[in-house]
Amino acid sequence: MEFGFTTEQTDLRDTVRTFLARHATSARVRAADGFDATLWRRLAGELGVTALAIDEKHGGFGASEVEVGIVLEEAGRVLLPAPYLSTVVAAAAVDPALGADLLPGLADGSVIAALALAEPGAGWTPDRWSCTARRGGDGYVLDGVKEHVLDGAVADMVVVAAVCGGEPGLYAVRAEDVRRTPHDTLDPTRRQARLEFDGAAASLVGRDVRRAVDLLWAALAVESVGVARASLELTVDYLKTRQQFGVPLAHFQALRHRVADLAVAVEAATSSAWYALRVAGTEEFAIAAPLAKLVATRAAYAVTAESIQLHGALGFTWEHDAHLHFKRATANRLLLGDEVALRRVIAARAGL
Amino acid sequence: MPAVDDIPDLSDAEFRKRVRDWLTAHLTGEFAALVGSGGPGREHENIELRMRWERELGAAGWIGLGWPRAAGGRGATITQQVIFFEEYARIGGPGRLSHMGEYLLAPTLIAFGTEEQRRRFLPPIAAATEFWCQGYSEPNAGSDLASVQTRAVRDGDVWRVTGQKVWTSLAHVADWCFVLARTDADAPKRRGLSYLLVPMDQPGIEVRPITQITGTSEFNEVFFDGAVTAAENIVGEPGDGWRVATGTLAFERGVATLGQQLGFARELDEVFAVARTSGAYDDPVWRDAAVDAWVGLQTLRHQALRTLGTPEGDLPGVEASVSKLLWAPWHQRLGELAMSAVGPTATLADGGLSDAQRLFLYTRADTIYGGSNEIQRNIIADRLLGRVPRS
Repeated sequence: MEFGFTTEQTDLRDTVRTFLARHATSARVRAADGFDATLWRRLAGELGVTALAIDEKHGGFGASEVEVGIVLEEAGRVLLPAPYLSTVVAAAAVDPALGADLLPGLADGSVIAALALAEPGAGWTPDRWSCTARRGGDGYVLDGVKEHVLDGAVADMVVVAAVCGGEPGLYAVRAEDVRRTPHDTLDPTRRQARLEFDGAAASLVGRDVRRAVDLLWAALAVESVGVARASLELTVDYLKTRQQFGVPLAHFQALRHRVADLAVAVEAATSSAWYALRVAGTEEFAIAAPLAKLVATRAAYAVTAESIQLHGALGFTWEHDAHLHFKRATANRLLLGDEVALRRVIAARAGL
Repeated sequence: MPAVDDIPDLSDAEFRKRVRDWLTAHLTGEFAALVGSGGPGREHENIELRMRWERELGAAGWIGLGWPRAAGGRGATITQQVIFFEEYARIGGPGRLSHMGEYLLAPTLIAFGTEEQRRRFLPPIAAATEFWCQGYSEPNAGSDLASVQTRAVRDGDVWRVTGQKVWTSLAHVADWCFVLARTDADAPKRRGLSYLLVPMDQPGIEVRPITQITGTSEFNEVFFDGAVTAAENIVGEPGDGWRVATGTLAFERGVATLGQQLGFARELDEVFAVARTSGAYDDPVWRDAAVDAWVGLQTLRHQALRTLGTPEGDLPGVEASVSKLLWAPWHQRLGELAMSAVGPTATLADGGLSDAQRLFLYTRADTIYGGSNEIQRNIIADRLLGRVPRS
């Protein structure tokens, strides 16, 4: 099985990393309040990363989940305050046979999209989602409420999981047809919104709700790998420079072994997240995606929590970035299914 | 071995079929009794028959599959080597006796040995006519391997070796031992070592089995009392021993790992089966832990596939340490899960140890042997944080 990256893919990673190191600095991320519009325009417009996985005939580059994963991992490293994950996952959930007209705008980044799945009271369990679609007007009409929609307040278009006559489907709704309530969030680098649909005009853009959920899980997994890697690097740098008892903290075996354990967790998370992306086109994805989400977000949580401890009191301050990594890792871990929920999904799908 | 070796030209599917067909055809007759025998905790079983089985494998060219052709190997790709291990595990092939020679000594000779040494020692490994054991650990040199005290002194055209080695797997079977010995007592401890090849069948060597936690014995103490080996049986120069002994570890890519994981999968299936009978499976808390074990096993597989499938990993040279820190605690946890699946009868041993008990007890060794997990953490920390002078 191929796990390596081509020269083009490595170049893409380098380009995105260089760009984000310059433009998504800690100060920028903190000032963005979850959405830096300038950064988003340049990311989509100059780098064209929103077009990667979209087919060429719809204005994209016709690359794959792997290229998108590379950008997501880099986005995770800097806690990118821009709706990249939301937009590419929503785009991937669109079936070109149904929603081809949406794809050019998603490819060139002129349209920000969000995926609306969870519902108040029903949490992450698709069987309990009750948002409904019915035929009306030129297409469909949508009623219901969605919660925890990532970047939902800044999206121009929302892809919504809803049931029509007992059939689950994915429906596109324009933002102006939705009542949106932005939330303050534990993770200040990515905002969520509550969306209410009251007879909103909608069009059917996909039928595979389960795959949309799987895609979001895989995306959160690979993004979490980036969060974990950045947090571990920050911690390693700190241990090498911070002096106590006349030597760098890196000299103390009690700390060295903890760092080694974190590195092992990051390696395992990287492997499971990338495995999921490599099998995104196969049946294995149904297990690999929730498994990656479980493993990678657990690792990111462990690394970012330990990072606070290993930074000592500095790690507890607002001024240091450790808490931003910790909060993103926490959100990624809890959103759309925590470990308990994911184990249940995995057990059911693997027939355990 | 076929006169014209076509292994590198076979597709993976063709190669897999060839391995499977051969194993199916040959693990029969007297060898059928070997299915599932040997291996961790059962290394004492069926030794004579397993030696014959090794020769059967060797005669068909299955030993030295991954060695380069120039070294008398078959130049199989990493994927093909993985396939061999997978098929071997799938059919329940017995625990191997030739692996010390095939996977530890041979790569060492290929990297650091002389042409004469390769000509002398590789063919009998490939034919399973000579078996090897590893003489590294000593009573006072475990994790601190570089402080070995076994002495080797040059005496005319031989080396004379005196000292004690311990935890030597299969020493009672081996014809030869690769020994890390101190040849210069005055040099700094890592620079005073040499890597010697010592024949086991001689008056100066005594092997005593160590009875272990399972009540069985696969490790030994080996006592050297003026044991001799020819002067040319040194790999590298005198004083190169540490470099030679540790040098091949960095090439370790874990081709055996995926096969090992098929064994793990079989053990996990067995734990689930036991739990269904005992009722543990109906307990949601127990099942939660079991699902976590299943998830852990998939992660081991993802890690192995990524390591094998990435030309240069993120942590080159320490992949083996990462892998060990993932699988050893996982396997230990599986042993605990197996015991809780069995329930109270897991405390009884009427008629000997059960599979669950053997797994439970043996896996305590997983985090110790082959470089304890603490040593593996040191290796990773050295890479990430830089080395710290250790006294």
